Amino acid sequence: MSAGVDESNEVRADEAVEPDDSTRPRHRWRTGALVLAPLVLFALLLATGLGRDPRELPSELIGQPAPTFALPRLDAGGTIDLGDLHGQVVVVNFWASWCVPCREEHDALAAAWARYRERGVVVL
Amino acid sequence: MPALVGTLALALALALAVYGATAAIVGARTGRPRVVESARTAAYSLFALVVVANLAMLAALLANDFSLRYVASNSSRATPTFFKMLALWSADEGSLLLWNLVLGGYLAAVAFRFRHRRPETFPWALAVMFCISAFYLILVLGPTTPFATLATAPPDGRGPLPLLQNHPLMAVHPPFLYLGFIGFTVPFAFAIAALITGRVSDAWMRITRRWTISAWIFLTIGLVLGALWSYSVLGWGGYWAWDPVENVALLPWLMGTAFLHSVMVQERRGMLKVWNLSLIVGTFALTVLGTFLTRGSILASVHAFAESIVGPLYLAFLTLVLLGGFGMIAWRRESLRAEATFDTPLSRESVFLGNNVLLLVLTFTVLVGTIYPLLAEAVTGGKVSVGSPFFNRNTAPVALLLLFLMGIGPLLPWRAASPSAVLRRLQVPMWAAAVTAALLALTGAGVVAVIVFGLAAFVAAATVAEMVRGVQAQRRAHGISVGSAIGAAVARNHRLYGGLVVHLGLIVAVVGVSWAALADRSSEVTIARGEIVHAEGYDLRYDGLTTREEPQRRVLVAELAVLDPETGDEVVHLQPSLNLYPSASEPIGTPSIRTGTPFNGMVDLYASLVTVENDTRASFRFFVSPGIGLLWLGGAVMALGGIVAAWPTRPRAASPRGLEPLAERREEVTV
Repeated sequence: MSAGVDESNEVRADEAVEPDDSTRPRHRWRTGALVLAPLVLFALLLATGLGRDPRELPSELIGQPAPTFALPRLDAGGTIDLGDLHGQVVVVNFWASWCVPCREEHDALAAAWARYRERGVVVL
Repeated sequence: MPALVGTLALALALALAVYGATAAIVGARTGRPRVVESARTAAYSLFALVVVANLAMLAALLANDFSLRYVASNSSRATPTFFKMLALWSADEGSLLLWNLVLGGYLAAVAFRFRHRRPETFPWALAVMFCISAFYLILVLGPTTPFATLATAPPDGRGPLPLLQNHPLMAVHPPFLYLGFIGFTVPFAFAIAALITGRVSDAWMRITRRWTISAWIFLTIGLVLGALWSYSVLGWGGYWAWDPVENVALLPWLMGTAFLHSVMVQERRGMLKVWNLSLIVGTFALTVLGTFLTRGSILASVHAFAESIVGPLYLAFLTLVLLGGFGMIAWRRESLRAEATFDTPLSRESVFLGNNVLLLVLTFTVLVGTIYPLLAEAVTGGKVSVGSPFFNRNTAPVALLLLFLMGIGPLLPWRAASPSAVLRRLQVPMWAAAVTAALLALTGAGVVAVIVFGLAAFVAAATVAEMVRGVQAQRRAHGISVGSAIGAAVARNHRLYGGLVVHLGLIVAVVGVSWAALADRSSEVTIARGEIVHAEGYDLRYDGLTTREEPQRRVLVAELAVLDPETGDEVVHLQPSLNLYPSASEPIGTPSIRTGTPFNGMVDLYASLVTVENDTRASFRFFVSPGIGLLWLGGAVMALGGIVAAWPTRPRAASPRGLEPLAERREEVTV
């Protein structure tokens, strides 16, 4: 702290004798470096964000068994329980009757099911 | 055809920007006015060309020219004309066109403003603005291509994002925000010009004072309109979510506000020179940071434009601004010595310094919260999100302290105040605070409410008392009526009164925000048709659903009667709706709001429709939010005060400011 004060006093004394700025280039570079170093670090930090997809959120559930549920069937009576399908490949699609894109993807899903049903894929 | 015209116009504008920058620099170095003159002309032409590019896009949107990729992705035949026009700025490429338009407008305005009298810094400032303009023109010519065409034009377009075609506020929020953001380019350019030429006196600040205030007014309006949009469209009952993009729009506002205050210290006392230059470089850098974070796909946000490849370019530009700006300040620091020192802590300049420190603390807090997820991911690789609790907890106390300083600042004279005089002036505000706090405590309000509203009363009384004092002085001096005394006082020192009006507006907004935060209630209710459900002190009755078919969407309108539980009378009939757009997988809600007025206790009744089950049942979110209307009112008052402060005054020999001390330091004031 005291060193800093001394230095600034000295600077002022210098100024009084020789006001030319170019007499103490070393001092100037040091200040410049002190100012710019944090900015460079900041820019580098921002650079780490480039090329990442901020929407990519790794789910905690990946690699975990799917939570089970039991819901009434639409095509027939009774309920369907996900627990009963343990060990099979199951595609679960959430949709609603009023959802236009859901209707559009319906055909594609039905076709996919028709193609893979022999291999034990179940589409809900 | 529009593609050709637009691209050609932008390419020519870029050529002009390069020419203008070169001519301005050559003119500045050789001192040949005719070369500078040609740079000025280049500024006008550049603006005209950018206007042409924007008009070309507008024409393509209105003509359903789906051979343009931008039109095909952001408009459709069924889109109403009004929203077709707004599609100009509802996606990344188009909004960059608007950005260039506003920047070109500022460039031309600066060239026009200094057509007769040119400060020495003018050519350099023009050169800096040309360079910035060149950067943004390059962006729309290469990395993003608003005028890219499709090999085969689709029969119809996809239409704008449903959220963006759901409310007319989209027409005004982005332009105001851009006018504010980009407006800070002007003081930045003059500051850099001052650093380049070494004329780091106060001239650059005085020249740009009104430009800075104008940018600040636009940004204030833009922020408030953004909050209003969020409140009236998104249906969550709130207006500010501390979303990264909201934050990066707030950051330059905070630092710009600090700048507007600290320049006064430099004008009066010749202090804080390095500080002021740093603040304006920082403010401009924050606007670039905002652009970078929004458009560079860095942070997840409702505003973020995805799949943009311009991130590295923005980052390079930001780094250049930061290193160049602060590097030059460090380079020139020898000639930036203060002409005076702080005399006592009890002076207006000390309060301004405190205000600056607090505003920077706020800026830093919001900045850290906004980029913390980036830092965490860079260090640990994990995903983190920083939400409202962090921001609310860390900004509220600082904001209250700031509010307090806002109250006492105008009461203190420059240099040094006598404590007894200050105490005398504090009497009225203290009484106002005490009475308000006591009344609130008696009615059983919580501690936070007593503190916040007591403080607000203190600041409001101090501000009003300060206004009254000036008006009374005029009355006594000239023996005129109250009306003409107000006019005379404002004319004599419009900067002071404008500032005080801004303060009043801010208090109104703070009261609204705090009131809503402390007292708003909400609940989610599912009501069968004809049934009455009690919620938040009201009875709600669901009266059924009507469907309205519009060309671009289907609207499901729920009829919700809000009843007084005592009398059974209908308080208001709300009609929240769900909008089904073919391009959206989920319905977009439109809330229905009964706006609070003084006649109904400033209480907003707000309902949004969550789900409907045919005509039989519906789920609503119902909010009772007092005070939010005060936020919009406060924002309007702030903008008004800003206009008063920025109002042009004719420089006269007997200028009102000449009556004030230190008049000799103000001779070069020309704005």
